[in-house]
Amino acid sequence: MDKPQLIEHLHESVNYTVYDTKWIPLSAKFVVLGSKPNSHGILDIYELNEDKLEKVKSVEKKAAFKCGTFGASSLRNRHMAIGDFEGRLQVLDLEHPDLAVYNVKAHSGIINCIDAIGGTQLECGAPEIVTGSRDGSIKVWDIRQGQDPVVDISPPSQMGDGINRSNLRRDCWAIAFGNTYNEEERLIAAGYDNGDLKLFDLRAMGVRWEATIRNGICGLEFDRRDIPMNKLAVTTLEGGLLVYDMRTQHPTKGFSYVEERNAGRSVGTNGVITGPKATVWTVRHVPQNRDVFLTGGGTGSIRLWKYEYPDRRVLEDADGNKEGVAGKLQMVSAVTLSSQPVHSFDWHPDKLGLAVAGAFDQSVRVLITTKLNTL
Amino acid sequence: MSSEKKAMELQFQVRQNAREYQSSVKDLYSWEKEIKSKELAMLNAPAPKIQTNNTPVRSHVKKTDETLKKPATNSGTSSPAITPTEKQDLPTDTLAQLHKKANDIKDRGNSYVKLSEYEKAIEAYTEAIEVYSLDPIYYINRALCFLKQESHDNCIEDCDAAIGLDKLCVKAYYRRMQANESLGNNMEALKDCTTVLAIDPKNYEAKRSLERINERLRKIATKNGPNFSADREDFVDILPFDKAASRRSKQPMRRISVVDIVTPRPGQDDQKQLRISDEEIDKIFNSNCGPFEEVKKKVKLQTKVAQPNTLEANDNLNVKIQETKQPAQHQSTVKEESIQSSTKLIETIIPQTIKPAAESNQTNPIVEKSVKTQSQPIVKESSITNVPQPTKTEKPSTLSNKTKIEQEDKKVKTMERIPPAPSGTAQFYMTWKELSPNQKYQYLKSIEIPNLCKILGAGFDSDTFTDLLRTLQDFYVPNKEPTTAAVLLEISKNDEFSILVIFMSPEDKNMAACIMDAISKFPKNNPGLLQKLGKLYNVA
Repeated sequence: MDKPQLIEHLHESVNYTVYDTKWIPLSAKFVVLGSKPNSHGILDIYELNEDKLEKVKSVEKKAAFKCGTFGASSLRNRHMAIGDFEGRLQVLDLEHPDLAVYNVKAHSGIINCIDAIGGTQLECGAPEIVTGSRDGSIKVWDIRQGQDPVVDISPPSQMGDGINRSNLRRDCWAIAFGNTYNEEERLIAAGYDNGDLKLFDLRAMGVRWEATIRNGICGLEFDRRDIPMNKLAVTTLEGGLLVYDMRTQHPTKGFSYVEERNAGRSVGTNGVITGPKATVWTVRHVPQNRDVFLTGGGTGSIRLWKYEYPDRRVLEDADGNKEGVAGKLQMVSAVTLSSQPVHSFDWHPDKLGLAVAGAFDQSVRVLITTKLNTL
Repeated sequence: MSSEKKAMELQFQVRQNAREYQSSVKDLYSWEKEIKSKELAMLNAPAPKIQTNNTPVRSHVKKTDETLKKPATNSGTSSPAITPTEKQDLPTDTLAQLHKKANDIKDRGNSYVKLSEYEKAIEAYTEAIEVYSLDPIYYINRALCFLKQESHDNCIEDCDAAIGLDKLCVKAYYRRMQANESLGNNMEALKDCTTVLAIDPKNYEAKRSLERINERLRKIATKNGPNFSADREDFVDILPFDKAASRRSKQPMRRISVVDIVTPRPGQDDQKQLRISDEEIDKIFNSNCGPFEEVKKKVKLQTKVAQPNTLEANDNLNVKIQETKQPAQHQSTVKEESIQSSTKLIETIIPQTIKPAAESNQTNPIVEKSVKTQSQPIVKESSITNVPQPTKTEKPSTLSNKTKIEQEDKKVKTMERIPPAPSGTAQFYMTWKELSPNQKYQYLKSIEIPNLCKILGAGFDSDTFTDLLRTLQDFYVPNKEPTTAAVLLEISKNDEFSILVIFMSPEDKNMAACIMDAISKFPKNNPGLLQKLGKLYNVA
């Protein structure tokens, strides 16, 4: 009872499928991205107003929206980078959403995931947007440069018929920027649908590390993007949750991790974990505390986790190579929000505990968390 | 005690939680207000200091292999200098930059082409060429636009330019070939085509077909056939084409003997000849020719002369010529049967077999066979189920009466083509709709009675039903077709019939009643059948 509690503060039903929810920086508004039944994309802006939500703006476009981010926009201009179902990347100014600031046909398949960095941070490199798509390629974009990606990470193009092609190219499902602590360094972590986890170093232009996890990777996030990489949380299908300790890379063993296999299941009344192994769709670290994060599961439940560091984070093995030691995960609290998966979640960068969550039951919820400061 | 304590604790906790929740909510509201004011302030703030992000755009690097080598450090950000500005970049990489810029413009042009806005595309490509003139791609793209706009000369020019830049530019040769073809410069087109093939023998499909066309054109240009008159400007060459085997007609080939047609009398006949409709001609030249119906001109004057003609003609023509009256001598030509023709206008093509009308009647007491009987066009090898009944069994008296009436009725016979008996429901309905009433009659007669029910099928609607009744009433009854009753019976066997009978309109009912009455007066009627029919049709 002393634990932090996640409470649903406001609830709004919409008449379209919600694909992403994001807070607008420095405001009490958030954006909901979705897809209408006629497959048009819809962007709604809601504002918190005491005990209800007010819809401030609604924008409709021809293609359904899949994901969006504010990472590359400065505080002053609210430019949201949005990926849609047709593979287009658009940067929209929310004050004037009709004309895109930047518009490019990024991929040939649906853009599954997007991340951006550099907008508000100082001294961490150029503002860039990275998109991962069903066609297996990852592209980094800079809106100052024309229609070509700045970096294009694609599997080698296949000769031969299309049947073979689709088998060999894995869909990219999750993507995250990290390690951008100065102007040069930047890393992209990418998760694929077959469980491949790859770390691309953009300074060295190469693959820094790769691993394969048992299940397809649905969610990926570094605990902080603008520090030397510390932890990487990975969520997968079938209820998998892994947290990698990224401070030490062993030459052969890579990074060490702690794994939780039941992260997706529903939590019963007494905290008894029951039910089928559901996908863990998303993982989001609390902006104010990088050791606390939240996962959204396929059964409609969300769980708050706390990571505890081990006594010694680095060990030396027989050959003198440094090896990282992973800590422990502790589930702090769990709440079932809906019957459908909670697949999008965003903490408010300014207010501790305030979050917006979107679920596949066509609803958007605003949550507040009590006692988060005690963690 | 402990449980009480626990309960107390729990309650306490719950209350505390509630209090906390309230406080956090209040906190939230106050924060909201704060942040909204902050937001407003920020939005209303004066124009922001233009804070150009000095960090350079990461150089355009393509990673094609996922498992990549580790190149030297700083290769990622090598090209832009530490304090990059546009000016500094230019000297090092002028041409490439220009090229890139031009490529962007070309992309714009490409999107215009996709939207079929060739004007704008041409503008864009011209701009691209101005920026960077050494890329043949812009020229061939512009050539394509010109081609679509049919400015073939410009197209050829651009292709020439592209070829000047790149001797092995396949597309340039291809497009120049197309332009030359359209202009009629066959030799040039052929040259270009062979060049294309020389460069790229693998892309043979498009080139092969055009090679062929070139061949043809060459042949036509050089040949001098027997009927070849001087080349006139407005002559259009009709080139043969190959029809895929799958698209050819599936009808079996029919042997039609070639017969010399006696040229018709000028004047009247010519006019009549010109009145042949295209449809009729089509029907002739399709392999779907229907039975040939002999059209006779009623010219009483010619009867004497005509007779020997008809004799001959009948011998020679195995084509389905049907005459309404045959001289009795021609028992041998059993197949030839007569069809009653309606009172319609003629379109004579073979006018010579003129009906020896009244005369033959008088001369031959043995009446022509199968006048009144249902006749069937000899269309196919399909069996003639309704063998023309020997006329002798018919009542001769009424026949002669009838023939007189016929004569009056039939001033002119029509060259009507009766479609072949339908092989299926769809065919039946499609042709049925297109037929004139008389044709309908013939057509209906052509359908074998047992098949009638099936052919009417499930789509048997009340319009068709009314039509059938009308046909029966107007043609079968006056002609005393003995199959009328059988037809009626067959119709009644159709599944839809019961419903249709219920929905018969008063006119339909009248028609049915008339037909019933008429049938009952037929000779050789079957009272049992009649009663049954009466019940079926009057049941409503």
